[in-house]
Amino acid sequence: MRLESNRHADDDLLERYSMGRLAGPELEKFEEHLLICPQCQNNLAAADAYVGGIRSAAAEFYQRSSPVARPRLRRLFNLPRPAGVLGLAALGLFLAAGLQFRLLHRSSAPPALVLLETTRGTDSPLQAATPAGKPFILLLDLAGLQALSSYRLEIVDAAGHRVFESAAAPANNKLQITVSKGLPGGFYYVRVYAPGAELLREYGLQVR
Amino acid sequence: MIVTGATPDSSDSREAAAQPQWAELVDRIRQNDSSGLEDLYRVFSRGVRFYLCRQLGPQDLDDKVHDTFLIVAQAIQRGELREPDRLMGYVRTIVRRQVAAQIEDNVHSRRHQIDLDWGLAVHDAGSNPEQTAIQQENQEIARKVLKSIAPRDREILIRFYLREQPADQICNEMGLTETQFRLLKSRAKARFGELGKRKVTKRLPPF
Repeated sequence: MRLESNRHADDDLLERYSMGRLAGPELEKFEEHLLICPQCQNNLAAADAYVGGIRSAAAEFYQRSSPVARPRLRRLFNLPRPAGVLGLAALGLFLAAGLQFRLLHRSSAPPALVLLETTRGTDSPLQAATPAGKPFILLLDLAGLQALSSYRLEIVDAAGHRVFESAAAPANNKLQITVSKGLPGGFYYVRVYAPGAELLREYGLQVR
Repeated sequence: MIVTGATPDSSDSREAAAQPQWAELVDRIRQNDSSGLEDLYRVFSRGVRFYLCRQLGPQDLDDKVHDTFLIVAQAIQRGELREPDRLMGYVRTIVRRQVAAQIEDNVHSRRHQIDLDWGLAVHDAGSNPEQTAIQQENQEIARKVLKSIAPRDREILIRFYLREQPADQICNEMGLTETQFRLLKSRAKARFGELGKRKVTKRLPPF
């Protein structure tokens, strides 16, 4: 939707702004309008409440389910029907191998998803948490940062020692990085840097 | 204050209030006319407050709003705003700079605290109790919404809101039309609104 300076934002635009998906002139125009429009401020507060609530609840559902296992099982049942004994034997072998693969696959739980956002105030830095010793995916909201082709990310423990480092390119104003080995329990800081050495942002992360 | 006229289609419910004439307002501020400063504050104070609160939280909000207005007014009086019609954009730039500076300040002070004594860096995990309660309520309502819908619909919402997949990708992979996708989203949102009507609308963030 195009926002004219003297018209209210529609639900779609509010939702996209709330999710950090607005950029460029559209973002500029909306934020300028937002500064002088109480109705859009109220509507945005409602959109933030909805998006924040649905994200948190969705993260719970996502972590409980194993979304990658189901399609593989479905594919097994979709195999073409063999003609003759040879085909049947091949199918049996294939099913056995498939079952073994699935059992192996089930043994590894999907990584936890950790949302790191900056819009929740300075007095609540410990919102994000993840289980100890388990892999997790960090999803960082880059809203408000300068747009760069890539960012460097490091995780330091409470004493400031670096325990993880990686670089990634953003997508949809978000940075997604997998910490495949997980971290021991404790408190950590997730720091985002420009490709040089400039520190852009820091988030708190509790590993329990 | 002088205001510009509304758009020709004034029956549109989405039409917002007419905007002030920025050049005239800027001129009065430049002349140190107190009514200019009052109008500047009246027009922008709620929005600046809202923006700062949303980005930085309610802590020291009054001081931050005051600092922002001081910067804007002084810059206008020094003649730094060369295009008065761009006042809204100018205020936005100042507010964004304030937010960036505050975040940078928080980061550096936290790093400094780590150097002195890392124990100091660990803040109280409990945020503003009211905010926490509101967030928990919203999450609970959203949980009810997600529980009440079909697994396939839930997957669509998870893909969009959590995994942040683009709408067209979701539609392609889940065999949906754009209308079906929008309808699903708006139904879920309406359900969220119904369930939370009493609680959420009465407890919007303090700004």
